[in-house]
Amino acid sequence: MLHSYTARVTSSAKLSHTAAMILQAIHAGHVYGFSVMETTGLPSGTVYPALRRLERDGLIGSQWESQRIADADQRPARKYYRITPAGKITLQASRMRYPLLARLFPVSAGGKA
Amino acid sequence: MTSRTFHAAILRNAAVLVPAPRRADWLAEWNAELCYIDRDATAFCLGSFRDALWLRCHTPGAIRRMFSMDSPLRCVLFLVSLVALTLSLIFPFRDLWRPLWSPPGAEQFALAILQMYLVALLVLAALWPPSLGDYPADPSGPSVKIRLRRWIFLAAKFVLLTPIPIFLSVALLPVFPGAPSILMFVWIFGFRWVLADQRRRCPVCLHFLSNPVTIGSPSQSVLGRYGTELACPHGHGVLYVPGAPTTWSSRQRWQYLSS
Ligand SMILES: [Zn+2]
Repeated sequence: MLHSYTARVTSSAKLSHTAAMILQAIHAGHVYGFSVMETTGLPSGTVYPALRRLERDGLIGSQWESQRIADADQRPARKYYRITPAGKITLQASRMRYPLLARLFPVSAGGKA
Repeated sequence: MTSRTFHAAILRNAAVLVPAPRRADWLAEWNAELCYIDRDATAFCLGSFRDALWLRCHTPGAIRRMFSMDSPLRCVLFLVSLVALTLSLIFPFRDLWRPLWSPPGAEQFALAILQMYLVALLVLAALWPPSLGDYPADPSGPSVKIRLRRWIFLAAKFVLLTPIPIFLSVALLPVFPGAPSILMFVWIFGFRWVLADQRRRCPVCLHFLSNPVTIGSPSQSVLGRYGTELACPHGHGVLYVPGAPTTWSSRQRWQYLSS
């Protein structure tokens, strides 16, 4: 318990501005890799490795959308990301470090946050 | 080639870097996202290499597996890529090295190289006997074709290793004029590696032997068997490597499991 708390605090303390931006974007409801790219203006070569890192650190989780929904829209199924409770704690700490973060991508009413 | 095929090809190439267990999932995600890109799709796809590399670097053991030379094909490919890499170092400056390739400089250069090559082989034979061990002919053992493949593999390693130090020393000439003089030492250690690599492999499938087991103890080295036994992971046989050379058993000995 203490170990996971320490890990989270350490991880939040080390979250770069880019990673914090991506975490905030996901929190704001931009749940697909490409929509995170569009929102943050970051290239794919930055966004995707950052998503892997955030997922490895347990700050976000990922899931494939239902094949039925994708089939109905006649497109391939997409993988979407969601922020975890640990991610929310880390984001909170990051907002103190980067005060403009929340204003960059405010959480929309229909967002998944 | 349509742009869609081109972009899918980029993603497939990047996928090679992704550790195998995650590859299908990774490729599906990138392909799905590609459907939503309406501009700069090439830049988007090129970013996949960085993502793939990140996964490769952060998956425990993935780097080691990528560069593992367990399979003979991987070993040969590794040497081929080293040849290509060292050749690519000198190719852009081929005009600079023209005196080395055209007479009379070429003859002197070739002669000096040949001398060093022969000395390297002699030193190797004197310092480390090039014996590969005892691999008894076994009627129930592998066919001549399989045994021949082992020798072709050894020869291929020697042939591929030969030009690497030459290209490297030529490439280093501008910054290190004495580079050709170390050629001999690179060959000696390179060929020693070739022999050691061959000894560590199964003579049938040419994969690395594994599961080393120590048998006996140093005090038994005179009367009993003391050494290490390694087995082929595919069950072709067992290799006995003596721990301390004795008059009757100083060489490693292979035993086919079928015999
Ligand atoms: Zn074998």
